[in-house]
Amino acid sequence: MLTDRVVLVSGDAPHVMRDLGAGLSTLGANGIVGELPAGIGLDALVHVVVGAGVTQMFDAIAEIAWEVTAEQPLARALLAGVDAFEKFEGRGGSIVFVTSADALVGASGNVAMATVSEGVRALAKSMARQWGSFGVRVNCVAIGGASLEKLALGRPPSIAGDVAPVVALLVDDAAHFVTGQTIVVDGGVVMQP
Amino acid sequence: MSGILAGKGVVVTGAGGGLGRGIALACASEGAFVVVATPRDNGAETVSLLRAAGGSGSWSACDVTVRGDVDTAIAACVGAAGGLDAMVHNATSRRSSEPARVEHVDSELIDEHVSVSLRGAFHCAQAALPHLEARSGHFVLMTSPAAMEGSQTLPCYGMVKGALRGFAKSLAREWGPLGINVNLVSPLAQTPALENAFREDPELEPRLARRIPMGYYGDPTTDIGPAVVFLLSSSARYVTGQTLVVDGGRFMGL
Repeated sequence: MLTDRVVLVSGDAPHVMRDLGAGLSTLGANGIVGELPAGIGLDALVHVVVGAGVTQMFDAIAEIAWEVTAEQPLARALLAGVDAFEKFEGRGGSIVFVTSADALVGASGNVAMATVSEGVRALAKSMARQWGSFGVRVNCVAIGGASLEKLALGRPPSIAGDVAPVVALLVDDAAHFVTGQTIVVDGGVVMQP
Repeated sequence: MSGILAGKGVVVTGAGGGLGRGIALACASEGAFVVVATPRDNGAETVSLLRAAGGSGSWSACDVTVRGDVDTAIAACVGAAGGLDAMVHNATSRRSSEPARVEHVDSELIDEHVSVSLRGAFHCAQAALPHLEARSGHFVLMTSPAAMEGSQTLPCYGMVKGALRGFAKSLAREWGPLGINVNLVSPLAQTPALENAFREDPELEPRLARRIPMGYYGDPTTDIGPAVVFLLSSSARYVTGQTLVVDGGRFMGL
């Protein structure tokens, strides 16, 4: 599906990034986790903003922790998107932000994560509007499915096996007319209105 | 003054003009004591206006990026009204209506938006929590269509306004057991910020006006304010985690 496409996987959650990179490579992409080596053209960016956080009630969050867990990841996501836009060098490309399904419906004990996730989702839509004319599409995949009892599909999610194929679909030309969207890949917990 | 907020203490950030001023005036007209929390003395003008209309309130010099300033504003409310019943975080960056291409955004602009909207929300929520818990209070944050459908011109503004939706819904889950409700209002109003955006982009006003089923831009005091008042009142005690869109029907995508 993604034969030889160069897909950079970056972000804040190493294990999610690693599994996504592996899953994308299985699907034929050249999945590069971390940083793009010099001299290689970029076709797509997958930037992960969730999966690294620890649960903490809001009133216990210190100011410095707020800065590190809410404000900085948001800024990094924006700058990562801009960096990819520049590396596309006018050839067009696809950006997928991996966000949180729980954030869509509010996440108790994860206020900072939900703040980042929903901020990035809004950002993705503005990027999609501003960059559409450059052939750059920007979408989100909202992942979740940790709470087994609510899973319509009845089993825990696998990043490489369940999430990577949907990310790949958004990177692939098959989705060439899809931009500014969020696809929830959580096995059927959150179902948006 | 009588009204559905009679006897209540309310703090409104960014109420020196525009939307925030309208919210402050609407709250005061329903009997609340309103602390107008603004960094500049245009907050004192808002207080003059609400007093002229028979309301009560005071100005507290408040930069929401400074926790101590937020504490001072809340203390002023507690001192004058006996407690804090409701907090409205309306303040945004002075650069919030400045059009930007996202590829030209620098760290400084990101920080402008993030510090007032998000650090401000963090400070307001943490400082208000014990007071709101004591009074089964209400917390309202202002969001925007740019948060829900993206923006062609204001990517950083849309980003932080979207972030506030994730923030508010999550807080609503944490604070529900404490008896505090947390909601958002997405307004469309004729404000200095919007007028500024129209000056920057002359195409914007006719383009937007065509999309408003009610056919006009809301007035901050008489169209937007009453919706905020509702969310700050006991009438809304079973409403939490919601985005109330008050925009003449411009956005119906939720």
